[in-house]
Amino acid sequence: MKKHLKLTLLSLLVSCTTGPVPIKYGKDNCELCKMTIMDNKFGSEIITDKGKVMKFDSDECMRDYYNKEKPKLGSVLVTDFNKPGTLIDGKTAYYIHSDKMKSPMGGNLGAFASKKDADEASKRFPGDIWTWEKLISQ
Amino acid sequence: MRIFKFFFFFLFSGIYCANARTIQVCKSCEISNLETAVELAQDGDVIRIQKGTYNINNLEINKKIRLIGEDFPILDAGFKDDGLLVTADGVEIYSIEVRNTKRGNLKDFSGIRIDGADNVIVWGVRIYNAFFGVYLSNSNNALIYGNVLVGIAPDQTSSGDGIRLWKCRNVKIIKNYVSGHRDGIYFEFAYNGEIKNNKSIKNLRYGLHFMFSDTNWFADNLFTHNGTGVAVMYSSHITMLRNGFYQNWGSASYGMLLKDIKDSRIQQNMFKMNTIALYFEGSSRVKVDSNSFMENGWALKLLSSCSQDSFLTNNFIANTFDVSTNGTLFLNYFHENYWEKYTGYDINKDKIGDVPHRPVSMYSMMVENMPFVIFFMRSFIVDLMNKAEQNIPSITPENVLDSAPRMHAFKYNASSS
Repeated sequence: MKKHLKLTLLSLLVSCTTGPVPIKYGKDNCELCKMTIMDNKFGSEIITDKGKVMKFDSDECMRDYYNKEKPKLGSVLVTDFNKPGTLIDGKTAYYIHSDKMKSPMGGNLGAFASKKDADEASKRFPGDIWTWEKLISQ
Repeated sequence: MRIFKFFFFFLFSGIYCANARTIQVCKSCEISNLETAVELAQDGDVIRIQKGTYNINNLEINKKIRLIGEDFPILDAGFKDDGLLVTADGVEIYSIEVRNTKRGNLKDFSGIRIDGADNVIVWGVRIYNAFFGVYLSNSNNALIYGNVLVGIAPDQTSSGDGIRLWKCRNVKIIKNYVSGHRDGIYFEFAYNGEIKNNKSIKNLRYGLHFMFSDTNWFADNLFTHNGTGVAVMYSSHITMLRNGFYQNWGSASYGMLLKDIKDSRIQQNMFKMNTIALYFEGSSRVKVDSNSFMENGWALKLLSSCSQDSFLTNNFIANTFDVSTNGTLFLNYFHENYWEKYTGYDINKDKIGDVPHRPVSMYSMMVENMPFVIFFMRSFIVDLMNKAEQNIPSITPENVLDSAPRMHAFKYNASSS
């Protein structure tokens, strides 16, 4: 009996974690613009403090949703432009805003894991480098 | 003196004609590869390519020439880079076949890329197994006519669009067949475009996709079996005429999805067998008239963020749900549509029902809020609730009504099926 109770409690704990949920490219739809998420260089994700997951096809959609709905953040995840399909923490990421960066919703935004990566990439995508605070203030 | 001028005119035009040379390219010719031919050519020349297979690797056409194939010579990009790159104004490409561009994340590899070149004509061209088919950027007044673009996308993420426009004006896209790409035709920041008589079939995402592209016109196209139908987003002044939207099935598939569309017109289209035939979100001043909605899951999903849209003289036949909405605020207008579900009467015989029709059923409101109640579809209790709600409306928005429903269906010529 005690064992069963332990198992139940454990499963409850597991189901409450707010970890990243992989984006199913080609299947999931963007929460804001309703488009099918296709480009695995740009997908992003907001997880609320209660664990609700919202997926976006681009950083600009994620930002616009965040500024519009003001969800209570558990975490925010963006795709590392250098490693398509890999999600990184959106709050510590660096964002390049460049006309050369053709992101899905015309926001010209791409995310990078470190300042160094962003500096490196800005040779190919000349433009501004933003932090999370700067991103959401735009 | 006048005769003298006349003579001079002929003299110089003769010289001009003599200058427009034809360069023959074939395996046994003096010139056997395209790079040399393009290098030798001058503005106004014609390059004739005989039948055969030629390897190309991002071949740049930077002169105003005509590239003409005899019986579809194959230009194979060998999965290395782009196929052709056009950077000069007034280039014409006719009757060739481009194959096997590279795929990948580095850049938008394309069969024919037209970059910053105006008045380009691409016609009668076949493009097979390209990442992007024809990619136009910063190019105006192009004509893309009668081409066949077939992509063999291995999976959904590593596929490009069939015909892709980015920052272009006055482009005409006529009589093309696009299949197996991500989006069949994609307009991004493209204005004054004309899309006519195309067939966009079995593309992985959208048959046609508009994004930030105002004042475009598309007519007589056929969109079937696409992943999620057609999407028209963040644009204004779009005219949509006589198109056919068929067989877009899936949990989030649409015949046509409208998102933030203003001042547009949807007329004489046929929506048949789609999960959601027409989806409206954040759209205003759109006139939807003389369309037929047949055998769809939802004929019309109209979110309460829409206003001043009018729906006139449409047919709603054999749909599971005719209209559904997500709130009680409703600022749109229905008039003189034919509703198969209408159960009223017409005593004065003016062919218009004497009692208004309320197209939103109680059950469709419930499904909108609680998707799982779809389980009770077509059950007796649902019929009972709908009937009760019809007589004493309490949940359905009261102002969603057609005050003059037609008694008989309109006969429209359905577009190509």
